[in-house]
Formats: sequence, C-alpha cells, structure tokens
Amino acid sequence: MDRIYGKLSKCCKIPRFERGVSVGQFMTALVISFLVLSLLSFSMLWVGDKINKKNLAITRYMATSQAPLTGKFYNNAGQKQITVLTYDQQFLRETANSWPISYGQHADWILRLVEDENIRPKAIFLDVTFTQKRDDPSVDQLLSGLCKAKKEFGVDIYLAALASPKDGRLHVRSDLEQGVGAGCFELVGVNYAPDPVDRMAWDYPMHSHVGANGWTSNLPTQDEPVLTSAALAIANGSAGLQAPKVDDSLALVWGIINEQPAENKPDLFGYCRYGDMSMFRLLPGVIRGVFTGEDTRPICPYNLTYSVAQLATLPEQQLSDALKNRFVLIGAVVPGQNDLIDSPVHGTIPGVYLHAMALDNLLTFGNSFKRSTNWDFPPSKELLAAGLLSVFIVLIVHVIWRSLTHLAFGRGSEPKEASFEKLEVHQRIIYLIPEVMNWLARIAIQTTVTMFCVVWLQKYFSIGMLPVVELVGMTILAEMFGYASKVEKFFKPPTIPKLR
Amino acid sequence: MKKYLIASGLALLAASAIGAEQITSLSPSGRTEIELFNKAGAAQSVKTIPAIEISFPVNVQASESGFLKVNVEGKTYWLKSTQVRIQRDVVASCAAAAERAERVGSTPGLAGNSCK
Repeated sequence: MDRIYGKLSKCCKIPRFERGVSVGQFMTALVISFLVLSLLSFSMLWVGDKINKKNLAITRYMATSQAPLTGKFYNNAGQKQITVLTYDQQFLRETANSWPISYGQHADWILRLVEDENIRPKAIFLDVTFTQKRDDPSVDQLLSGLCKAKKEFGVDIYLAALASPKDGRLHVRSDLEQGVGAGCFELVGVNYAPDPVDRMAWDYPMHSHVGANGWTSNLPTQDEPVLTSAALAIANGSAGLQAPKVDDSLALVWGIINEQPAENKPDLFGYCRYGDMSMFRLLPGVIRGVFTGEDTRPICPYNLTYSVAQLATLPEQQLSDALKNRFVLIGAVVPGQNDLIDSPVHGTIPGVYLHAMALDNLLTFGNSFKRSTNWDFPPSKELLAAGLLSVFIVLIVHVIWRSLTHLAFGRGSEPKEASFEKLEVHQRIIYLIPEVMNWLARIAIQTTVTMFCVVWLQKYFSIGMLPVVELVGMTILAEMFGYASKVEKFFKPPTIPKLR
Repeated sequence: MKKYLIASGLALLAASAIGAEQITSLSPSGRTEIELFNKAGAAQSVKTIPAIEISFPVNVQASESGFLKVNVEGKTYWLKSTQVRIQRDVVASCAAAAERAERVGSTPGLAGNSCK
C-alpha cells in the first residue's frame, strides 16, 4: 500500500527537468499533473457557478485585466471605417440647444453630412429612438431629409427602433415609419443584455426576438419576427458582409488604441486618456500598481469621435478624412439620459459605442467574428481545446519555473518539512522571505504568460475568450493555493503515531 | 450696389456684435446661397441670398436651437448653423469631468443645457 501511495505521490508532484528523471517518468508526471489541474479548475468553476454566480466575479477580475491586453493587439482595420458623432453637452452648449432637439435639426445635420460629396459617408446610423409622439411639426422634415439622404445621395440610413411587445416588430412613431415602406431607411434593433455577473458588455446580440418573456437575444424558436441588431444590419446592408443567420451573439473584442489627434478631440473626451501599448500592461494589475505610476483616468472610447457641433468648426479636409465613405454612427450623450454601457476596457461609456465596437468587430473579422460561448455541457470542441491549452500553458510555466529555480538554487531551495519545523522563528522568517518571493514571482509569470497566450488564442480561435479566462482564473487560483503539494500530501502514506 | 450694401451691413455688424462667434464661410464651401429665417426654429425661409454677396467674417449676435442670429441689410435674420462654418472663441463652460457620461437614478424632463 505504501508503495502505491509513494508512486502516486511522485506522479502528482509537478515534474521538473533534472538529472536522473527519465523521459517516461517526466511525461507520466506531466500528464497526471495536467489531468489533476484541469479537473480541479473545472470543478472550481462548476462549484463557483453552482454556489453563487457572483463568485465568478473573481475570474471576471482577471477577465477585465485580460481585455485591455487583447485590445492592444486588435487590428485597426475597422477603426479606419467608423466615425462616431455625438449630440453632447458641447453640441447643446455651442448650438444653444436643449435636449431633445427638434426633428428638423436631426434632418439638417444629416443633410449637412450627405449633401457635401467631400464628406459624404457610406452609411449613417442614428442611435436615437423616435418612438413616442411629441408635438413637433418638423417631423415631416426628418422624414423628407432621411428619404433625400437615401434616394438622392445614395447614403444608407439606419434608424434605431424598439420592438413592440404587441407584434414583436421594430417600430418608430407611425408618421415617420412610412419611410420604411418607401425604402428611405431601415429600422434596426438596439436592445442588449449586460452580463448577469458583472454588468459588462462582453457580448453583442446579432439576432433577437420578443418572446413570452420579453426581448431575448437569440433567434426565435417559433414564428416570431427576427430582429436584426444595428451593427449586423449595417455590416450586411452596407459593408457587404453576408453573415449567416445564426443564434450566436458576438463576443466583443474591445479595441484600445485611439489615434485621434488630441487637439481635435471632443470635449466629451476631456475626462479620459488615450490607451497605449505599454508593455507594463503585461504585468498583473496588483504588481503593476506597485511599480508604475500609471495614469488612472479611464481609457477613451476606441472609435474616432467628434461632437456634432464640430461639424461646423473643423477644417474641411479634416472632416473629409473623418467622414467620407465611412460608417457614421450618431448617438446622444446627454446628462440624465442613461444610454450607457459598461465596457471592460473603457468603463462607463455612451451606448452608441456598443454598436460602433460591434460593427468594428464585424468589419475586422468578417464572418469569422468571435462567437460568444460558455461552459455548457458538453462544451464546444473549440472552447474545450482553448481551455485545456490554457491550463496546459499554466502548468508548463510552473514546470519550467520549478526546473529553473532548481538549477539555480539546487535542492536546498526546497527544504523538507521536517527540517523546517526544527528552525527557530527568525530562521523561519529568513527562509520564508525568498520562499514567498519565489511564489509571487511564479504566479506573476504564470499569469502574464497565460494572458499573453490568451491574446494569441483569440487570434486563431473564432470564439470569445471570456470563458477561457474564467477557467484560467480558476487554474491560477489552484496554483496560488498550492494544489500540487496538497494532492501530493493526500497520496503520501499516512503517518500512524506510535504508542508509547 | 445691392452686393455692397449687404457687405457693408455685415461688416458693420462685425464691429458691433457682442458674441464671440464668427461665421467664416458657408458650409460646405461649394454652397452658393444661404437661407434666412425670420425666427429660430422656423421651418420656412423668408429669403435666400447668394454666397457671393456676403462679406466674411460675420459676427453672430445670438444662438438658439441650432439657429444663428445675424443682421443683413439692417434687418435681423436667423440662419441655420448647419449651413455655415463657425469660428468659436468660447471656452467650455463645463469642467472636463462634467462632460463624462454618468448613470443617474432619474428620468430627465424637458430641460435646457445643464452646463449653462
């Protein structure tokens, strides 16, 4: 029995490269360690989810650290095609307006964009829902303006709309809705559901419907009307993407590097800083905070942004660069209006950026956009492969670290428990300092390498990496608690106290 | 003659206007004429004048609901801010942090600009 325990305890110990260990022994130990670590990670994830979904907040902390890193390596192909215009405080102040502005003013600004061929966009999405009737005679102006933009100037117009619980279809006020039948514009869905755990916008619904329980972000199972989201409608209708009608939501990759010239940024960006490519970001947040005096302001939204007021002040060449043949999304950022979302990278930002980032993802990845997945049973092959590969990377870093410290400090670096018990308190402290430093350094390196690998995985896998980061979060947690030594202890022969 | 009258009228206004905003040109630059309205927010213009008859810069007397008040030939008119290019010397009246979008636990009624 002791022999079996002995063998198992050796097998479950994290292996290291050293003399006297055969390839067979090493591989056996590696495989068993991997299986144990994987099983433990999945179990922790499953138990955490069962006990209380909010326990996943621990792993979401890691995910929000991971998201900026992924964003740094995000291709800027889509960024060059999208511009966000905002009806904001700067606009209200400089045009002496109050919100809501008249329908006629919406029409005037849209015509301002389309009438000038030097700045004429490819498509315009107006992220303002004209659902309720209000006493404003200029509604006819808006309808005729939108029709003119589409029919006379060939600019595709998309109008935000809300789904009616009565018929499950998208609607705006009835007199304006005539424009849909006349082919002047398309109504698009703007609903979204924040993440149930951390309220972040990790996903973007592609198709949705209104069922018995209200709005739901997937395809209907019965014959309810299918609602197409704004970003998908624009990508399919104006960017030539032919996305299949699938149930999946889009797993958003939030970009970071906004290269908008600082001198022309809108007042809206006064509170934030531009994201950068600092390699310090590779370090885990806790360690980074100690060693770097980071600018703590939030990162500005990713997309090129101007206040609508700036259309009247910017030089024409700059307007042309910012708007011509681009997809222009117009949103409102008005005090008191809660059209806001939480980005894992930028914090709380106006809702129009959700659609802008989703469109950016669709333009960047095309039909290979990242699909949102989770750890359902059975998980998708792609998710399982990415998850297990990430766990394996954590383990391999541990193996390499262990081998290197062994090479550097020899066997003396790991004293036996029995000899530790014989040490005096001050000797224990002296011994523990390098031990703790070694532990901290290992966890930091494991986290950093794995985070970097997740960025790499994101490039090659067509799924969102959020569930992978959740799993890796648990793996790192298991590593922090020294799972290997506990498993090793479990398999050690029990010591029976001798009777005196 | 008419051209000089309008030009001199607008030039005089440049000196007397109290606002810090100036209309520097029509927008887009290819625009050949501009509509004049008798009040801010009006749907129908009362007059259209050719761009060539305007001497820039033109000072803005007041702003309201996306319209700019100017004086042409001794008469007050309003024109749409979407049809002109403007140079503003105005500094932001809100602190930078106040421009940030923040959640609130209420619904706004119809109100003016909170920064004013």
